[in-house]
Amino acid sequence: MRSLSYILFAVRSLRAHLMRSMLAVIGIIIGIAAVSVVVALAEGARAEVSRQIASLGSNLLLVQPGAQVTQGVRRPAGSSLSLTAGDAVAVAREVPEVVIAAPFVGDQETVISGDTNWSTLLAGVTPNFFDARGWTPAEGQLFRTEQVASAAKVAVIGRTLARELFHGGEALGQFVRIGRTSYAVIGVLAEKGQDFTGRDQDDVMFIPLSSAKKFTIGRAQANPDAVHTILVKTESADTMGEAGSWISRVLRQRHKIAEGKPDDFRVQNLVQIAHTRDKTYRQFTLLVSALAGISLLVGGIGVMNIMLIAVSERTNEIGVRLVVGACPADIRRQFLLEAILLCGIGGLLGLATGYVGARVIPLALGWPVEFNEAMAVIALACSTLIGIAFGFLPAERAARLEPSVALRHSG
Amino acid sequence: MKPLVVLDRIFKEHRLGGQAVQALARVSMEIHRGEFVAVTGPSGSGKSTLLSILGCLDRPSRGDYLLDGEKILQLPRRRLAELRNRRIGFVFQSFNLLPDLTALENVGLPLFYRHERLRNAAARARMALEQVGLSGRTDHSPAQLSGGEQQRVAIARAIVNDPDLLLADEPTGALDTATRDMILALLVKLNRIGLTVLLVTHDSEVAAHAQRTIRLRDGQIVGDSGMAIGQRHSISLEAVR
Ligand SMILES: Nc1ncnc2c1ncn2[C@@H]1O[C@H](COP(=O)(O)OP(=O)(O)O)[C@@H](O)[C@H]1O
Ligand SMILES: [Mg+2]
Repeated sequence: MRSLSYILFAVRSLRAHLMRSMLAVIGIIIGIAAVSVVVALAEGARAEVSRQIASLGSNLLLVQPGAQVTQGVRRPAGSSLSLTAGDAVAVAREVPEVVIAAPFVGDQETVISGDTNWSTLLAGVTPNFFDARGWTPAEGQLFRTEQVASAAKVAVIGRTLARELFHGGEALGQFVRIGRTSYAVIGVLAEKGQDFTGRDQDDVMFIPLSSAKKFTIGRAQANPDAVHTILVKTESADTMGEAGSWISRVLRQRHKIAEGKPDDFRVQNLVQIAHTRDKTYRQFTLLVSALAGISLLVGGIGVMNIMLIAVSERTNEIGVRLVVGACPADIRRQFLLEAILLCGIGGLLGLATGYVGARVIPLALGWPVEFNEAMAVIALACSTLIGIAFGFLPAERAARLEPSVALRHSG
Repeated sequence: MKPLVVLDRIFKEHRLGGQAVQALARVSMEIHRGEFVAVTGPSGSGKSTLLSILGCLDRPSRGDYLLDGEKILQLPRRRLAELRNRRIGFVFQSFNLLPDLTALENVGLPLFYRHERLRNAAARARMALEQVGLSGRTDHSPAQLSGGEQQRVAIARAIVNDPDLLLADEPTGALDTATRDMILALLVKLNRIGLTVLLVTHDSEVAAHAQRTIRLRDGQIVGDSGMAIGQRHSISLEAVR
């Protein structure tokens, strides 16, 4: 009851000086809004990365043609065509830790259905590619080994492509055309979302590797037998390193690379790459958070400034309160409470602003954002702490006033 | 009967930019319960300083102040606040009401600081406003009240805690004569029902309402009309020391 009246007192005097209170609080609003937006972005990015890491599938290595890193310059993947389907077979056969080695060719192609066309990633794979990724069809089925052997004109497409070509209509059984070759859609994959590079994994069309070589991608290549990637699944996470070096050894031997010469391929651990990105992102977040924190600090100083002005303007009021029996602790509590309330209100408004920002940013910029309750509680706790920290000095100054001195200020 | 107030050779120096101003010098007096005392003297003679010390707003530089037998000089600020709250009512020339509070809340303020429950406090504040004839103005803010009404609210605030001593520093200084007389009549009425009143004024008509007048000049008592038995007693005591 008593504390309630103290709060009411504080609310009233803040209301009585509304303009000043608003000005004092703006810094806190901006600070809290900035902090909460940054944290929401960071949380969103982290959630996205862990979703992507999960979507990468476990224990996957990526073998791609081209040197690892030459003098700091990384050549684009697939720029040389040193890998073949035979390499994939050899890796699977000769490296015991490898469970699956799936060859892959891919290129951006225009897919046509009726009078609709859409540019998508055309990928030529073998059925074990789907096994390696753990992908299953949402509708229809995947193609089988026999269909690869016979270079069948069948396709398994991603959700985005299905949507763009058939506008929500039935995709199964439809024919899609690339160049002069038509493929029957026999399966639609379950939705995957973006991969860790931000690419839409559902904007894709899979056809048998042999068909791709025979009708599209292979025809344009100097070496029709070349593949762009070999996706390798190892038996466990622990053996990935060992599998990697064995793969290198096997491939060097097959490519007849002399001792001391660099590899003409590279073996990458996708999860590791994603983690590295995550770490970089986290450091960036920390930096931006620190900047946002500084703006919060500036807001706190603003509140302290306004409270100091309030104390000197309301010296007579303090005197009157002392005359009727307020003790120094009462005065201290009053001004501290006002500062806390001011910052608390600022925190709430800042949080609301941040929330709106967190809603708008994904729409405007397409960045993932995650806004949760724990963050809201932390932001409010932060602003309250700022109120205590920066309200302390003004409150102390008010509490130190001698009644007779305070009263001599005409109010 | 034990005196309510005993001042024994009180000195008070104010510091003003490194310079000491002697506001009170060797002031001794006793005030008994139920007295109505006027303090007069020219401007700057130390009347307000005397009231600040009596009201526990300020401490003397030297000398003893006994309020109902309790030595004030060494008390901590907390205890002084408690004394101001429970034993003393203060009325000023400039009313000193809080502008953001209603009349009722202004009157209830001392009760708030003694942790009185809200409903109790409201009832007591209402009673005090009734005593000063302002029951119809409880929810007005000070700005909506006339000077006389504001001073009556201030008096209600001063008496709401049932104090031992009412200190009034030129309470009618800012009021016209009709209002002045009304405020004076109110103070006299409160004195009749047992309240000890000490009133600073340089208006001789106001002083005439008091039973006893103390005259100050340059921080010293130069006259005391009510040389009552207690007063002579204290002087003789001083002689013995
Ligand atoms: N807080 C103070 N600081 C410095 N000088 C003061 C202070 N209060 C009063 N004085 C000085 O002390 C003297 C007595 O003042 P005061 O008690 O206000 O007299 P009165 O009320 O009789 O006019 C004056 O000279 C005044 O200037
Ligand atoms: Mg004066």
